[in-house]
Amino acid sequence: MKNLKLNILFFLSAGIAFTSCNEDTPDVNNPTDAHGAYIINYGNYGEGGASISKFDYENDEITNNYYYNQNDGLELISNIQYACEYNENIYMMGNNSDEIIITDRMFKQSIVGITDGISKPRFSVGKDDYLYISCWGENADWDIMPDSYVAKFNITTNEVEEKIEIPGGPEGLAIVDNNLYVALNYADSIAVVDLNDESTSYIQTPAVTSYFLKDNSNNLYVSLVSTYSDFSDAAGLGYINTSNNNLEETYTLNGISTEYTSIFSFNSDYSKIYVLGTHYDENWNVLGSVSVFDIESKAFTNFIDDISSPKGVTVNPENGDIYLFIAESVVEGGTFEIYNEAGELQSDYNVGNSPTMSLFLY
Amino acid sequence: MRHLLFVILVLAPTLFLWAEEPEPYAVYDSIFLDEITTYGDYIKYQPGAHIVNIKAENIQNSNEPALSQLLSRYSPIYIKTDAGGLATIRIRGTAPNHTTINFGGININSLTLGHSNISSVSMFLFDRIELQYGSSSSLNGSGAIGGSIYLNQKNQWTDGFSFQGKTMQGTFGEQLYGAKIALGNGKFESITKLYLYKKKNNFPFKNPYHENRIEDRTPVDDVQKGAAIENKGILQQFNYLFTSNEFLKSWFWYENSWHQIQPNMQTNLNYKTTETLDNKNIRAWAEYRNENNAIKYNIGAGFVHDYQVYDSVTTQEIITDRLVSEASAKYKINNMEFKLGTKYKYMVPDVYAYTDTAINNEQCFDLYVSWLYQPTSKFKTAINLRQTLVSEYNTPLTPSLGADYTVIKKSKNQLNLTANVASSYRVPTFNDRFWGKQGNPNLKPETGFNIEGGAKYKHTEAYSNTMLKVNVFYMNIDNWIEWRYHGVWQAHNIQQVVSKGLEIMAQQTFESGKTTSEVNINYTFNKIEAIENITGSGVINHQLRYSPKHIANLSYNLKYRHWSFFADGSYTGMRYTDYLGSTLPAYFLTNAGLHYSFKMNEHQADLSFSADNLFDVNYQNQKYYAMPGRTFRIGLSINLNY
Repeated sequence: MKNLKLNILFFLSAGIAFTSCNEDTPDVNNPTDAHGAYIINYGNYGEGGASISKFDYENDEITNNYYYNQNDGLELISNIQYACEYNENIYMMGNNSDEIIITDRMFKQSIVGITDGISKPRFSVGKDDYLYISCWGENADWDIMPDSYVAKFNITTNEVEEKIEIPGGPEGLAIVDNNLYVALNYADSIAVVDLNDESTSYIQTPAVTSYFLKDNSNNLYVSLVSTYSDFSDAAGLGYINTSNNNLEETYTLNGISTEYTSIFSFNSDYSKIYVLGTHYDENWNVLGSVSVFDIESKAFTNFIDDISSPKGVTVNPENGDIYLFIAESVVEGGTFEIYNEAGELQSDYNVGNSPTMSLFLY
Repeated sequence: MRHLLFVILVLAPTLFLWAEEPEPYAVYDSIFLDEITTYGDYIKYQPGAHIVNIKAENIQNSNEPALSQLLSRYSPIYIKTDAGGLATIRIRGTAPNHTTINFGGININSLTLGHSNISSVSMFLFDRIELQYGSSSSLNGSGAIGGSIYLNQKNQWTDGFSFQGKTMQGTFGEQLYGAKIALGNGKFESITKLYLYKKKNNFPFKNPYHENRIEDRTPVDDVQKGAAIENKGILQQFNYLFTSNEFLKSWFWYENSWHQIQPNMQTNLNYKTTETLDNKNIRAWAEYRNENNAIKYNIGAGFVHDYQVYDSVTTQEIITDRLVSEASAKYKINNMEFKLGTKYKYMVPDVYAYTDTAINNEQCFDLYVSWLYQPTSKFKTAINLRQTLVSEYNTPLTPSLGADYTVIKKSKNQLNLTANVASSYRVPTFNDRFWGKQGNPNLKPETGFNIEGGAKYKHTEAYSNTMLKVNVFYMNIDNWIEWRYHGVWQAHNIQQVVSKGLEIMAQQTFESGKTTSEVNINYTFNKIEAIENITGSGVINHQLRYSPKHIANLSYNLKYRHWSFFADGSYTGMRYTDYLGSTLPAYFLTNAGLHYSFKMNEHQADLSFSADNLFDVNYQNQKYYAMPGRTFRIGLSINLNY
């Protein structure tokens, strides 16, 4: 209650201050410019708590509860697994309830979330008039994920036109040329769907996979992870030659994060990959770290060590800052930290509940 | 306010009874929540502890099928629950795994989770429930930090044959069928209790998370889907009475509880399917007690098999087995009594997520000693010590000291002062230590320190009894374990928590001719906060989630000849749901009912009608989960005695 009163006082003061400022001062309560980084706060599964925090990195201003404010007090009632921008809209993958929430670039929602054909949505990638959405399906057999699929979602009609059956727990997605690459989080392979005829082939991998990174030359990297249900000694990164769909190289990094959504990120010129990992200290406590994979030398180096509770890492493509998302529990506010390329902490901000990723709008 | 008014109105007859010329008082009866009047060892050796009971009659009258509902209604304890499938207990604000649930010599809490789903503990199988507030690890071992529950059977020693058949039909597809069969010759007896409970749980509610909520936020009518429950169980007793001080008792309890995992309101709107949770539990306990000689002794042995499968995925079964044995002896010299005992547990988990090298089995050996000293009839005190040895794990010595002093003892008035100091501990669960790669074998046990004191005043008139008890408590729990995200989800000794507060119990009984009435009021004020957190961002000095500061019950029972009427209300205060300021508002629920019973020779029949949530209050116990509005039950019970 004390915090609430302080917050109210702060906003009232801020309101007075803004009305007395000159006209160039941005009004955080009534934004008109979408430019910025939007931190997706997942919330607490089944109990809501998801939110969006907007970070205006040009003015170093954070605005929590951005979606709530933009929608006149509307709650995000699903837990947001992932969000992307496509065709001037924002698409958020909501879990429990399972839905695709569509907003404009200002995060204003005008239509109800799409639920038909959507079951445990995980990730999405767009091509032409379609958004391809990985879904885990209804069957909770997490050994094999027999009912999982990729939903082919038409963004002009907002309907799931088709379900492409992909057993094995599809997670991250990438499109190169006309192939849809599907990382399987419960099978040691990557599914490759030819979008011309929707035939599926598989690339065998030494571990289950979680996400892809694609550079501007269609070089495709995949995260290979060791999970408790599918242990592997070959966790790390893999390089896929998209011209022949071969896993050409693997680069071992024990402890690469099994977290979801943003466990690795290219830097702005695609010369490095920042990778989230974990290790155990002498007391069996798990600590997080960020490593850097140099594309040219193919080697990992430590970037940040001994991070408590990292949920995600990403790089701001505009200024190269490294963003780290930290959440120690699902019921407390999370933290968003900014590092420079030398690994020095520049600033940190309190954000919502369980921050996992950032969506950059330009 | 109208709900409170209703309760006050139903209490009004008590005032008239006060005004009437009383007739001679006959029976001190029909107590909803009473101080203990029958003594088990756990009561005898804890003279300063706060222990209350819920009587068999009240268990039966309430028509509540599960322990969770009974406690929500009649005790000032917070039960976190959805609409019936899953419920956990939080005594004095502590976590569910801080309360032991004792059946014979067995703590029925899951070895993997550390707690029980108390919505699957059927009240049809038990005659009496006793609640202990506060720590009792010196008697109950690991986990008895916040409190303990004792599931009891009454001593019967059946001579002849008796049969009780019960059925209850309620709204939203609620059905209970039960039978109790007892036969014996005064020495040997067999008691069989079996029941089937089903509920469709398709209740209506107002759903604010509807399809048009962007344009119009007014809640719409919705019906809960995918929240069905089906529990069934059998409790078989074979008992043999050698002499009045020597007997053999045995219990065999099989429980199969199945429920659909209730979708939250936003999911319910676009309901597709529901996952299920299926539990099968075998709990067996046998004990032999011999109190014929100066050295009285007791030996017991038991077996527990717990099986759980999520959504019928048989590749992900969670199975644990345990063997339990216990032996104790006690000896009385003048005004002192000594007790020495041991307990041994052999536990074997078979859990899909544990690696083969993590654990094969675990053994636990307890040694305990008690000393009861009663120098005068007005004063008694007891010291208990317990040391648990767990294979490859260190646990602390847990002492406790309690005392009860009768300050005033006159024909009409009695005042007792009580005090209790107890330490406690909890060994981390198997999941905490061995789950997948996240198991944390270096966890320390949680340790607690509990101090409390109280005063109990009783005033007895020819036609009435008044009781008032006030208890204050302070509890400090260190190395509190929670699963936190530190790169992976893992259990950690996260924080130190302090729980303190005040408990008030008041009771008034009155008899006038063929009319008896009773009023009970229970109130708890409980402030519980973390005072230290190992993580930099950990929230401290903030009321814990799902721990109301204020919780209260008020009940009234009126009997006239064959008829009885009851009404009760329960208040649950505001609860935080996270540490960002989200809360659930307080709510007040009102229940009422009517019973008619009649006897024919030795036989008896009871007809009951009751309504829960009489004023159809729309509320949430757990965030986003709909709860039923007004519900009705009609019950018929027949007792045949030969």
